[in-house]
Amino acid sequence: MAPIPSLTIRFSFKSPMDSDDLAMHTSKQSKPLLRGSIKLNDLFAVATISAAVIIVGLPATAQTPAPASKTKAETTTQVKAEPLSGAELWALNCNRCHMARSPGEFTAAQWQTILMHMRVRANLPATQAREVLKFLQAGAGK
Amino acid sequence: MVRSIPTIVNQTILCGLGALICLLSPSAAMAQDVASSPPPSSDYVSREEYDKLKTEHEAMKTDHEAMKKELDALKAVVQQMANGTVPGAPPEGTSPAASPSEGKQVVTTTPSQPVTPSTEAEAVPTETSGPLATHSFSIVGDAEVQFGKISGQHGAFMLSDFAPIFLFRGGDKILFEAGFDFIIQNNAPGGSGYSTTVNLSFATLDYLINDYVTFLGGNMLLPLGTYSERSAGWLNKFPDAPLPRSVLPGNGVGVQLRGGIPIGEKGQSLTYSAFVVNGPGSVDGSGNADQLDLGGNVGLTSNGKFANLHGGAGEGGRIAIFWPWKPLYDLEVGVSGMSSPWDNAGRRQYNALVADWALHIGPSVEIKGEYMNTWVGTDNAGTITPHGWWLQAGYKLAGLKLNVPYLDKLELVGRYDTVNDGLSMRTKRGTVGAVYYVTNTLWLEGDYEFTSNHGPNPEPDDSLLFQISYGF
Ligand code: HEC
Repeated sequence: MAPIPSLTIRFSFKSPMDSDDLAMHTSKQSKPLLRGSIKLNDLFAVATISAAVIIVGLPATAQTPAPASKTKAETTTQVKAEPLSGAELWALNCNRCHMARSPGEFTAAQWQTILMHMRVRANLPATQAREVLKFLQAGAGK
Repeated sequence: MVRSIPTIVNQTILCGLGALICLLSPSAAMAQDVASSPPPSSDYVSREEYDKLKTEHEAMKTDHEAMKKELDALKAVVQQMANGTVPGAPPEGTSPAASPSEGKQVVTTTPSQPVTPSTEAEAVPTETSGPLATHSFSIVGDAEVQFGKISGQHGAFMLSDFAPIFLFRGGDKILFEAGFDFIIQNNAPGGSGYSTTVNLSFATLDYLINDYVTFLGGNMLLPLGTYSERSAGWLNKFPDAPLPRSVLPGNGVGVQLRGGIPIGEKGQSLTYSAFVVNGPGSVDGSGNADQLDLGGNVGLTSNGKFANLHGGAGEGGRIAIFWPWKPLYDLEVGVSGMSSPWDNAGRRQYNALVADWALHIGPSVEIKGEYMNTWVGTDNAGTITPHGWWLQAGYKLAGLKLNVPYLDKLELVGRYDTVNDGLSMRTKRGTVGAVYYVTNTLWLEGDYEFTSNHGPNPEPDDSLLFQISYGF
């Protein structure tokens, strides 16, 4: 991926190791991150963070045991969040951003790493990523 | 642990040999017995003698078979230990050879047990059911070679990019991903030679907190639209980026939370990303319009100071819906935005709003694009609004079902992109081209770009580009 020309392109290749007095200056940066009056973007931050907190809380709610009145079958369908098979999910997801990569292209261990990479990059639901991983590992190359 | 393996191997072999000797010596003794017993009256063997010999022979045969099996089992265990495919101490009862002290017993119990095959059968699933190691390191990425001919200039070959991605996985929750761009460029006119630049496109530590939230920290590709996050050479069907991407920062240093939530029976999902980064900076610290620097606030200044140039934070995020309605038919629509101070005094604000979409209609048709508008507060020009949009379409000829060998691997592509820098420059471009898929990740691309500029310093006009892209 070639770097995109932005309004001003500046390359800086100074490595942190070059800075002889990094430690001395560190103390100077202890300004509060958000200073001054509350701005629109601070509110935005609060909103996104609260949304995130709610989402972090989700799984806890999801794990709450089902009411006793429910039959066992109902509970299992609730737990099995993924109605589609790994192969179906692979066909659905893995060729929309790029050409599909077939199971035999990587080893089982590599697929585990790649699926983690893809789950993060494509925001794939975890349940789907796990099913796709199983499918790819079953046909993985040696 | 490692050192104990040879000891175990040695013991196993010794016991095996011991058993062998034990078994051989009685047989040898018996053979002597037979030989030394006084010969009967004549040279003929009596029925009794024959039967005795026969029984002895049968017993020896059985012993021999059993020993052969035991030896094979021992060999298999030694082999596996050498390959590291079984742990030093195999689980109890999995193989007779596992406990050398019981070697003798094995011979006396059912020797017809398929000893060796069972050991092998265990070794195979160990390999296919995943790695024994919890850590893994892979190098993936892409590389591009380009030939470009811009009107009014000489055509030239260039290695436009070598972009490896390092992926380190620790267990099933931690991933460190770092992507680089290696590019060579002639030194400035008048100088000789060339220099190589290495750009760190992204480097993040990803932690999967739970099924719905992943934490990212580091130098991130920003989820403003989708282009930055999906621009590797074997993903982009054109050799260059859409023009209006220049009004958005491509990456930022900070933290991010992101994830996806399934919302239906057909694989639909709702996805979100929310980030806090240093945000853009200013070249000279002022809030003058031409000083906006979308790429330059990475937290460390060239004199070694730790600094967020404006002291404020840039926040933003993207929310999107992915809606497949049948296999190969899907729509993804996203909205993203960002807000950040950008001048050193932190008085001027940079805001961006982006809409993105991608549509697939069957295996052959893809249409996608982005629209972006930004609002930049400035000292000298009020609020300017750099903006633009792009739309691209691709059609894979395989969809025509012509079954013509080379045509079936061709995709026709077209793109329109335009950008207005908010000051006085407007650029429009139309691109037509084709992608030939040698394999799924090795592509030959050819494109013709028609560019028109309106403003004080028009950029070079039309160009012809050829590119070889490879994803690995
Ligand atoms: C949201 C878009 C998107 C989706 C959906 C997606 N990928 Fe990717 N994939 C990418 C990008 C972008 C890269 C290039 C890596 C980079 O730029 O960091 C990539 C790279 C890869 C690679 C190369 C190795 C690597 O890790 O970089 C493989 C293999 C891969 N993807 C497989 C898959 C599979 C399997 C799926 C289905 C679960 C999938 N992808 C879904 C965007 C996507």
